[in-house]
Amino acid sequence: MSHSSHILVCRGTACVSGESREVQAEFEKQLQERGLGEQVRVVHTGCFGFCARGPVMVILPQGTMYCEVRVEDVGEIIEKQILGGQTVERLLFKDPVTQEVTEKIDDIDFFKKQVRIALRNCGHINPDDIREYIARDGYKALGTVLAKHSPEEVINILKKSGLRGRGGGGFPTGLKWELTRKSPGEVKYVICNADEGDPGAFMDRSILEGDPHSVLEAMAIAGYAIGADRGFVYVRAEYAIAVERLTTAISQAREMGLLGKGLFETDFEFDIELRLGAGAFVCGEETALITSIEGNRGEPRPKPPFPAQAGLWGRPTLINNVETLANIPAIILNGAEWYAGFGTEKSKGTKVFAIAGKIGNTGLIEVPMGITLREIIYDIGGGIPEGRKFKAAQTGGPSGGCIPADLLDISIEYDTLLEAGSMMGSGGLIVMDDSDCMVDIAKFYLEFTCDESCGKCTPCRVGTKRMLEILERITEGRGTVEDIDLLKELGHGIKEASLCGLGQSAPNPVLSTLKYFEDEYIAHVRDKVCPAGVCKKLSRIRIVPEECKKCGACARVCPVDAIKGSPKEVHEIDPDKCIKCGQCIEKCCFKAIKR
Amino acid sequence: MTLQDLEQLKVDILSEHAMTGARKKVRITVGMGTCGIKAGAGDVLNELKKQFEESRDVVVSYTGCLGMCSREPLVQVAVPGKPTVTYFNMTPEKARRSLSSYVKNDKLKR
Amino acid sequence: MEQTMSEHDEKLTKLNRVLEQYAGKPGALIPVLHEAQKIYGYLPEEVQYHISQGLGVPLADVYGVVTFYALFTMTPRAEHNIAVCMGTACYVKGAGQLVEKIGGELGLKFGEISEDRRFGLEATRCIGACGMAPVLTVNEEVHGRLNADQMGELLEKYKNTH
Repeated sequence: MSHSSHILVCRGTACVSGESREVQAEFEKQLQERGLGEQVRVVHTGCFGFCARGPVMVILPQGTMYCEVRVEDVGEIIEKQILGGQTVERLLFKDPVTQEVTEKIDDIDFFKKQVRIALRNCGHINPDDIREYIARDGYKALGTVLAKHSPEEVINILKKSGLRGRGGGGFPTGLKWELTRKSPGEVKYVICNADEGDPGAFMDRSILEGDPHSVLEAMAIAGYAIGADRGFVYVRAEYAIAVERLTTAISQAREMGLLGKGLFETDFEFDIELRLGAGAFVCGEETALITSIEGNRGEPRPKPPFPAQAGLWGRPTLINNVETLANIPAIILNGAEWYAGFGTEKSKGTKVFAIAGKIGNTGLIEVPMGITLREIIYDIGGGIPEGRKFKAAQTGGPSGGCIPADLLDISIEYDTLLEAGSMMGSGGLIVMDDSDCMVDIAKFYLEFTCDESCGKCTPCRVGTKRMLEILERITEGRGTVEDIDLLKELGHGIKEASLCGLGQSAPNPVLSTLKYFEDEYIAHVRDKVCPAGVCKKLSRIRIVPEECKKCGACARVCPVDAIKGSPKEVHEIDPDKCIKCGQCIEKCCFKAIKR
Repeated sequence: MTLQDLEQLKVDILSEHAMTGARKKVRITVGMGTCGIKAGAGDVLNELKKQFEESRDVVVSYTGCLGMCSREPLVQVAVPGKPTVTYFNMTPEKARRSLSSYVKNDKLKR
Repeated sequence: MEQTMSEHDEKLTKLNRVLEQYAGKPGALIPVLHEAQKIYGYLPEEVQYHISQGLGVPLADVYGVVTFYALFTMTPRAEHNIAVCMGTACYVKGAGQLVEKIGGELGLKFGEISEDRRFGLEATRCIGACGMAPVLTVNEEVHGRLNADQMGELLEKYKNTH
């Protein structure tokens, strides 16, 4: 029996003398009469230690505490609080000191537009104490599933909820579970992919650090649904705190009998092991991750066979990302319709984003799908600091792309982002302003993928290297207009011919910046100028003669003696000597030196 | 453990919490995610623990990331009967000054 | 640095204990290498050979795995290892300038260590502290919200400590 509310009535000696027993009986009677006996459970508890104002009672989940409750008040409490969701002010526990205006965290703009489902417990519970998780309905979803649902029903709930993989791929989660369940085999595995590697993304790390049990619980539910009794969490070794808290969480769950044999007095058993990554980005790709758990170089395998058919040690394996899993207990408890009520037609629910870069409030947010990029950047993120102009938002990390300013009103969904040449990715969102050079950013991502390419297939290993060389050429002023076409041609070739997701998406940062910021590339190759002044060999620092006050401060600070001029003449920078360090720009009080 | 046992456990834990509330215990929670720790939340937590070590009315605990990395370390203070107050950019020094004046004298400094 | 015999034995005993614990378990190589690196600080050829014998995995495979993963290293680390985060957020917030400054001061490039083994400089993948960008770590200590001008002072601090 699952109850949505609890009424805790104090049955300590003092409260009993204040007729708490009668109050409890009255509650039970009235709840029965109104047919609420199923939803509301009345329990008596030990002394609250607040005897002076008894009888005392607490209503959960709201945690409202009422004092000096009389039998006559029962009707009003049921009417107002249980049915109406309001508090009965006159019975509230009041602090004698008048209350000053205080900031409630929910009132801060940063939190107003957020819907926290995957992050529901982050920041609210002590992650090292399983009891705090249980107090917020932890492991109830697992218990409910084992008591009431067949594996097929669980899968149907997920399918109806519309949940799609939050690691980047966006594959429907329910379908993935169904495929793994239907794969023939006695032994199956569940893997949680916590190898969060996109630079600028830290959603999974925060969930593991703030609410590790939600992931463990979801893995056990997955185990029941697909028919597996063992799971692995593959987590980056660099995430020391997450590893520590996961280790604690696993051992606490085992102690409480929430992992291990005979869970919830059924025959179902499930246990979880931690495996640490060792610093290879490609291991976030599911087949590479499996190879790595098996103890090998983390190189991807061709698909098919998919992990659902032949994964870890050749057995059917379900791989889900941390954020995907963290949503699942909430979906089971609140129902598929509830979850599907958030978001849009094709992208249901919420998504966690790590916002960083040139933005006021860097941080971690969870928003309903379908929110616009503008709302995220300006309403939640607080806009661009230092009065600068928004230039682009990068989503999807090294596999994604840039969204320019004229698409600020784009609705954040899997398909709209793909159409815009970027992707949802795992949720990194990096904001760039007008002082960032898009060619340089593309080069940055290419350096990353080039470095992280595992080397197994040629298009990715050699292709990314060639693309990087072209970009280096362009940023150093040796590029030609033909290079731009070559980049496009190479990019499309690598996308089509690479073995795994890393290679197939590696050219995206280049292709998307070429799509929206081709003028910047052209400025680099034709005019030999970096408009943002980032690429050193293509930026020129000059002194505006009309504004120079001939003070000589710039010449004194120049480390290479590139600035000539005496106190009586306008100063000048020798472009051959200048190393573009920018120290003179900072030194000049008259803002006469410009890039 | 059965589902009923779990429900009972939840109720027990919640009534424990409610009791703590009824005894007017103040709950101070420091955000100890990676961002928080890197911004110095560990020192803040230690300072608060030290400061309220002997107090019976104040519980000092920690939690994961609240999401506002740019304003870490974050400290939440829950005084029974009042909305939870969140402090941004805390330092051990600020924790000493503003928190104790709020918790002990009920003066909220902004 | 000369290793005394007893120090050597002590490490070997620890490694043997790890090998026993993992013997026969599938997929044991990577966890064992993690443990071995904790014990030795790095993974020299002798240690890899010992692991290969202990787990019954060909030495070529051990070497293959060690060289594949960025966290495993075959060279001893410097006393102060400076790792600059080159994640996107740090990059756009000027991690490049930090590297330039540090590199200039110490005469080091990424992946190099100074001759006296006091300092090492490396690039690290995003450590997820993007809210504090740009970030670098010296040994385990994290420094955030940095600018190039603070580098001199920071290095000075470590130059004077052992």
